[in-house]
Order: sequence, then structure tokens, then C-alpha cells
Amino acid sequence: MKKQCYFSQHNIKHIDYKDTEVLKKFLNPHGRILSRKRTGIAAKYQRQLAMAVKRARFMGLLPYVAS
Amino acid sequence: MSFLSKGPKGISGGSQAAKILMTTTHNEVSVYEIGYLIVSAIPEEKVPEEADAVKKIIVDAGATVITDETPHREQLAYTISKKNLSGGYERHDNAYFGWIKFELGSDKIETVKKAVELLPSVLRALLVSTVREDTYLGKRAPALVPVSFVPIAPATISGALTDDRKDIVPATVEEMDKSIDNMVKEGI
Repeated sequence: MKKQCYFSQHNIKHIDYKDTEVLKKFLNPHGRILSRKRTGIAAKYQRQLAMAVKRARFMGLLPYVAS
Repeated sequence: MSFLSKGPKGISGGSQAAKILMTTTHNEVSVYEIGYLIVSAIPEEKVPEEADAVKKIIVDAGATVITDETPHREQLAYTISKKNLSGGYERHDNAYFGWIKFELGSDKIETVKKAVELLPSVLRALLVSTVREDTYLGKRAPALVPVSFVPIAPATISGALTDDRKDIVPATVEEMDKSIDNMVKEGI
């Protein structure tokens, strides 16, 4: 069964770095970004997600490495 | 380290048209958002004053504030160090996180960024190019439902009771023991 994109499904056009609870859904326990193969996110949103996660990490809202 | 997008790329230099395009796009008004961390050493009642200092820098540069959020205390994901005036480093595990969304000409944005970063109470600041509409979901964020999960109707599960098998009564332990004994006697 083809997975559907979380952001397309919920009509989210822009991914904000402040939405850490949303971003955390797409990180593994080590704090690494999950692949689109795992999450089913569209390529457009995967790029936005990666940027948002990196911004949140810079601001100390998300970890670079989680233990 | 900066994640600020610097506007359109790939403009070929040399031609007059390209030069005009570069000068016109250089001063265009865009929507920006500055997120900042204020050091936790500042008492909570003085945090709005520090937030006003950040807002004043932005407004003085000629910006129009669209939305903002007053700083709130946040547990940082990792320890951030900041060099103090005496040359030593202060380590921070907590900070007040706030943000301001505003509209400003791109020629003034760099001065605003530097002025905010130089404030002694600002631990870290991030300037991003964004859109006017509200992008922050906050608590409105929808829950993540596994899209591959489709609830299976009980009737479709193999072995489940269908309408014509509802009258079958489950066997008791004694009945099961008896049937096993019979099977052993029969030599199955």
C-alpha cells in the first residue's frame, strides 16, 4: 500500500522550525532525520523538513545527537 | 552559521539587464522572522524588557511587525556556551525563546541581524526568510496516524465468528480433555 504524505494530507504548506512536536515525529531515537522511504513524505516536504530540523537544532530546540 | 536565504540566485552578471535586476531585487521588501534565545540568568520579570529591546531594533530599522511571541522559558536540547565580557564562557542549559515576524527591506536586514546578535542578553538568534501567513502550528499540529494502518473488519479475520457460526458454543476444559483421550485411544 502506498504511504501518503503527512503534510499533504493535513494541508500543511510550510514547515516551521518552532513546531518541534511535529518535527520529532520524523526523527529517530538518536535525533536523526528519518528517510522518506520510512515516512512516505513527498520530496518537497522532506527538503522543508530537513531545513526546519536543522534550524531547530541550531536554536537548541532539538538535539544534534540524542542518547 | 546562517540559514538566511539571500534571494534569487543564478543571475548572470555582465549585462545591463542583469545589473538592473540585481539592484531592484536588492531593496525589495520581504517577510522575515527572527527567533532569539535570551539568557536564563535574567529574572523572569525582566524578560519582556529584553524582548522590547529586540523589537525596538527591528522597528527602528523601519520594519513593520506582523506577529510576535513573548519569550518563554525553554529547556535547551544541548548546552550552549556564550563568551561573556570578561572573556570567560558561560554555559546555558535553559533560555527564554521568543520570535518576531516582520516586514523589512532586504538592504537593512543584515544590520538588524548583527544588532540583535550583539545584544548582551541574547544567547543566540536565527533570522529566516518566511511568508506572511501563520506557519506555526503549535498545539494545532495534527497527530501522526500511521497511514498504512487500515482497520480490519472482524468478519474478514480468518477464524472469526461469522453469522452462521455464532451458535457454536466454545468447548469446556473437560470436553477438550475427553476428546484428546479419545484421540489417544484411537491412536491418532
